[in-house]
Amino acid sequence: MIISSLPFKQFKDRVSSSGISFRVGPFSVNVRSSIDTVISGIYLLYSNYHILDDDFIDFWIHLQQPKNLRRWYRPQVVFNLDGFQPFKPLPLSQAFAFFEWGLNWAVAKHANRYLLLHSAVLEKNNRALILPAPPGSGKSTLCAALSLSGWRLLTDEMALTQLSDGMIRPLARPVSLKNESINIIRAFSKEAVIGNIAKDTTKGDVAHLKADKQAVSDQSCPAPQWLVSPVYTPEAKAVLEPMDKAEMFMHTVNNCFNYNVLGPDAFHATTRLVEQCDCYHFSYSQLDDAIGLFDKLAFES
Amino acid sequence: MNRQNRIIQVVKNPEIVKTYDLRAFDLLKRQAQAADLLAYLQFLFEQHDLLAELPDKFLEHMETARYYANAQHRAVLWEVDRIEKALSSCDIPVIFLKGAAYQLSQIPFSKTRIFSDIDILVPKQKLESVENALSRNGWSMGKVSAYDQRYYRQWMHEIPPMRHLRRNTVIDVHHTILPETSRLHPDPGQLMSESVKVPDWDNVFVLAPVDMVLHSATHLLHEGEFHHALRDLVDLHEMIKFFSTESIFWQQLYERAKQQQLLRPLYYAILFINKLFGTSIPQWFMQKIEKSRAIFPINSIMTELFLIASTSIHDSCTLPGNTLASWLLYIRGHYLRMPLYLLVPHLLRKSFVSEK
Repeated sequence: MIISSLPFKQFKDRVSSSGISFRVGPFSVNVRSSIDTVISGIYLLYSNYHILDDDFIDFWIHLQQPKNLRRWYRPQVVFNLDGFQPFKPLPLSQAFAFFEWGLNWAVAKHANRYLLLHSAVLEKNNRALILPAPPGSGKSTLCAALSLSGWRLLTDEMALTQLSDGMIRPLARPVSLKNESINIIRAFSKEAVIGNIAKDTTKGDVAHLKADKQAVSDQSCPAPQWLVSPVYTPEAKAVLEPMDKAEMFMHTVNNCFNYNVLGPDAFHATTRLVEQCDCYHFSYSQLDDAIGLFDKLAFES
Repeated sequence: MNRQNRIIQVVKNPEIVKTYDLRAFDLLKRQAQAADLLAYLQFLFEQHDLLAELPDKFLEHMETARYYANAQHRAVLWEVDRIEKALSSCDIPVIFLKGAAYQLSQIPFSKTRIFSDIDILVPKQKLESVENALSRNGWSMGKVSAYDQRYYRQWMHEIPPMRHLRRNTVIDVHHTILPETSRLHPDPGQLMSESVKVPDWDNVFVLAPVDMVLHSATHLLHEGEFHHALRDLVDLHEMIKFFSTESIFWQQLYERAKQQQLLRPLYYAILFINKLFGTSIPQWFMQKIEKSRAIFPINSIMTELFLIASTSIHDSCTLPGNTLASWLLYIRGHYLRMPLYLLVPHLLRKSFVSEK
């Protein structure tokens, strides 16, 4: 049963009482909150996710307003992971984005069966395109556009490379869009479903693009084929240039969340990943050009 | 509602997991995460050959915790190396305490122990040269208020913690194991003279086994905060299992505790691990140290409060009365550190002057 099969009223009651459990990629999440934007945000953007009745839950998440004066004066929201608060409270208007960031953090800290890269991943013909990049490189915008152009979204934020076999585990979640990207993606596709905009966050304005039904339900793990370091460059033509493997190795390490935690296992996993993939630098300014180039790449190899 | 502490159940009898359903595993995972004991459970189940009995999801979380513990183990050994080098000019044996010492002594469970600071013990007259040597090598106290400086330097058993500017690691430099102002005064000279050199290192030492146990017990009973009390109890349980294979251990432990006036904290520490985990303690030993317990009814109240506060580590196993118990023990912890005429002004100041 998926979330949209519950009437909103029933969904809301469940989230604000016992919490609702659902599957996100390989993980199970229970979210409890009586904050309206969190409830409606999840109902809109997670409508295709499977509801679980499991007794074992990976992440117990509770978003609530603090029980003090901040309930009325400049109201705030607290993110709580099973009794632990990894972050300071944020303004209440950012509550849904806080859920997304908090869940990212939870996964990044509790998934050491994977080499975790700060990266978008998309798939075509059962082969994975991995885009590791620091914030500000235009990775999410590119990822959003590709996911709206026939590529299957595996993640826009965190690549899960299985230490056991090097395959990429899907973790389809709403794609986080910032500032101008929100309107760029709205203009790019009529099919884009985008949630409410959280204004003035530390990252500027933030809104989330819904992951399509296919991306949420397809749990197959593609093999890595392309490792691409994207850089948005104003006015530039879309260009893919081969990148030296040693350089890509270091670029991957710099975008890894748990390299030092995994130690030797991280070194071996990164080596395998870089050896398996064709490695490229990529600069672009126009999304249509970029997609044309990746489609060609997928078609030719 | 069922308020069982699953960690205690499992440490006492690991085989019990064979009867667990997924809900019980979920609670065990959550409680162990809250107590920083999930990596330890992995060690425990491995030792009892029970990993095959566990659901994959639970294993995944334990493996994750174990990776953190292994990474920490690598980092600690590197830190010990850096500290040894930094203090080479001070002409003292570098004695490591607590977590780092358990790892250096290779007590089997120690690789899974999560902790944040490295603790060392140095002679009081060498404090200044140690502090200077650490400063020259990248450690810094940061900004410490004049009040806090005085609090540490006049009353405590350690100087303010120092943080390494690049690695962000924290070192606590102690000159004895209890505050100067506390009622008990174990002799640091004896701890140092009987310390044991760690093989394969030039100048790295740890306390003798009996002193390591006494230090852990004393620390546990003198703390005012209980976030890590369950982990500290597991330390004692594992240390005692490891050291008591030497038949002379119990006699030595008794002698040393008596000499150092630490029989009472030792009694309670032993009582608690025996009650919680069923740690095996020789009967003659128990009878001998039992004489050091507090008088009735303080003895029973103290035991009750301590067991409530140390086991209430997660919402699912928080016992009724925990808030009150924790508060009373917090006051008690401070009361043991310093006499009332110092304590009252100190606590008042701490509650009105906000930390920057």
